[in-house]
Amino acid sequence: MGVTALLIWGYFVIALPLWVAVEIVHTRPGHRAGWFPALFWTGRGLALAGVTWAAFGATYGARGFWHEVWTQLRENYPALLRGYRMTIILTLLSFALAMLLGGVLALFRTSESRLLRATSGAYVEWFRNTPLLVQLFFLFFALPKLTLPIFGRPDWFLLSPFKAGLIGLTMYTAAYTAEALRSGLLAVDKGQTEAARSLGLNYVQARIYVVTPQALRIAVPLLTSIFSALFRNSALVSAIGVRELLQTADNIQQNNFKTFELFALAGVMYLSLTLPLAYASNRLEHRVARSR
Amino acid sequence: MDAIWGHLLDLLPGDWTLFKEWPYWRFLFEGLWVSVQIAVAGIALAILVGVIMAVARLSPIPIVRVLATTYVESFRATPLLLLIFFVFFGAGRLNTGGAKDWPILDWFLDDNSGDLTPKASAILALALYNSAVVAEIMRAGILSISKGVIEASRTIGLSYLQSMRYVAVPMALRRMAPALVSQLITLYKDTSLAALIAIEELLRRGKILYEAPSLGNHTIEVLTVVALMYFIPNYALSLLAARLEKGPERRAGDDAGGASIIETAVARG
Repeated sequence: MGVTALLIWGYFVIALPLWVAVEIVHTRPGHRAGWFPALFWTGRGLALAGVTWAAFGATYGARGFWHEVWTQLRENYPALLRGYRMTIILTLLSFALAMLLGGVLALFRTSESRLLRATSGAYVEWFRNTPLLVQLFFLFFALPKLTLPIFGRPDWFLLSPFKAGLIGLTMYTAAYTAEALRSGLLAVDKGQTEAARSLGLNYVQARIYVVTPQALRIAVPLLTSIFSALFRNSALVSAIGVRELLQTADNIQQNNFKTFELFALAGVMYLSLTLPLAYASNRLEHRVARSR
Repeated sequence: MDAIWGHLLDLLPGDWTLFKEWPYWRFLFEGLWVSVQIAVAGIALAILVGVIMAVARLSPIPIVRVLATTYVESFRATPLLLLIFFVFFGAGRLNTGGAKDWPILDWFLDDNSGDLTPKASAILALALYNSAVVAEIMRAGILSISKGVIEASRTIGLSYLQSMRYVAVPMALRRMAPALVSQLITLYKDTSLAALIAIEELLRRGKILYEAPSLGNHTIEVLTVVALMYFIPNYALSLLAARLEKGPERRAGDDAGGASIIETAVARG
């Protein structure tokens, strides 16, 4: 019995029943999985692994599917971790930028000027209603061919895959963060602005120091799910040649034909971040719902 | 008509000669039709499976609940492109040859090899992901119905499944209609990912058009038209969703939780 088999059987005999117990405690009304949340989501990931193992195990002989996956991880971990790092860098950078851009757009959208409202509305509608992949193709394939009336064809229109991916993800996500922040801004009571104004703050100060912090707090659950969506959407930049996680797995897979193993590995690596995030966002939603 | 159209196009910046001729439009519209097929089949399957999963997630039987939760949480948390690759490359290894002559399954199988066609694997992957999202939307919908309604239906003698089938699910479907329409927007956008597994849908057709060396350099124009072909139906759908949200369904007395649930579901795109 190899180490992998031991791990898998150990999981089925010990972790799975424990996890089922946690799950039942969690879903019964009035109870939360306050104790041992780590087991809660690890269990889910491992259960998925178990199901896949059961589904593919038959075609992989005695040692099983996940043994192959483990081998792939052992052989290719430097490249895969580089890809993972790239995915995380892209996500964090573009989320930070999208928060800035989205914040500006949300302030425009709720401002008193009709022009600003219209501009921001058009931006949000356009970027929310066209596919991210088309936007990325625009930035990467079409932008270098754009000739402007006076400037001609600036060199910086020829974007590197990383820059195109970063800008594309930022602009797409900003449309969503703008909507989230707008709903947060609208949820803040009007009396807050009026109170701040009567204390002597001007309109801009009232927005920035009084309304925005409260709006951010209200928007946090929405922003978490946007962040998770962004993390998953970052897989699309592999289409324009950024060496992130999916692209790395795909490259290795094209050399050694271990297609399933590598995509399963990439899947587990994505889940390692999205499942805890989903858990956190559920908890946050509960907390916000209770505090209201 | 043709002449007017040509002159109108000449007013625009850029080189629009390609779009003065019908065959290029038709080439793109055929791609659009494939996209729409994928989207419609995907949302139909997703709602079917999603409703079942939502009911299973609220089931009183623990093991059913656990299985449904695992399904929903794991498919919702995976990048869609990864799922598409997984199903597409996996299709060849599934032994589906025997089902070639079955009534409905044969739509999805290749006539000669009996394998899953690329289009079918895209539909399947989209349905897997979106059924998990629809299940979340539906669960939120069922939970937003006041408990008294479901308890009342249980009191008059309906079983758990009957109370879901005749009371909770129809109410939740109506209440969650805006969120489902928004999800359809996301799904229609996501059909563009099928271009990456060589299905000739809208984006792929556009790419073929602008990459054809004999046609000249039309990248910006073609991509603009493709983007508009995604934008116009989606914008119409988003107006529909906004209208549904404001419609007579949102009566006073509905708990305010509904709004934030819908917005959460929309933001998940």
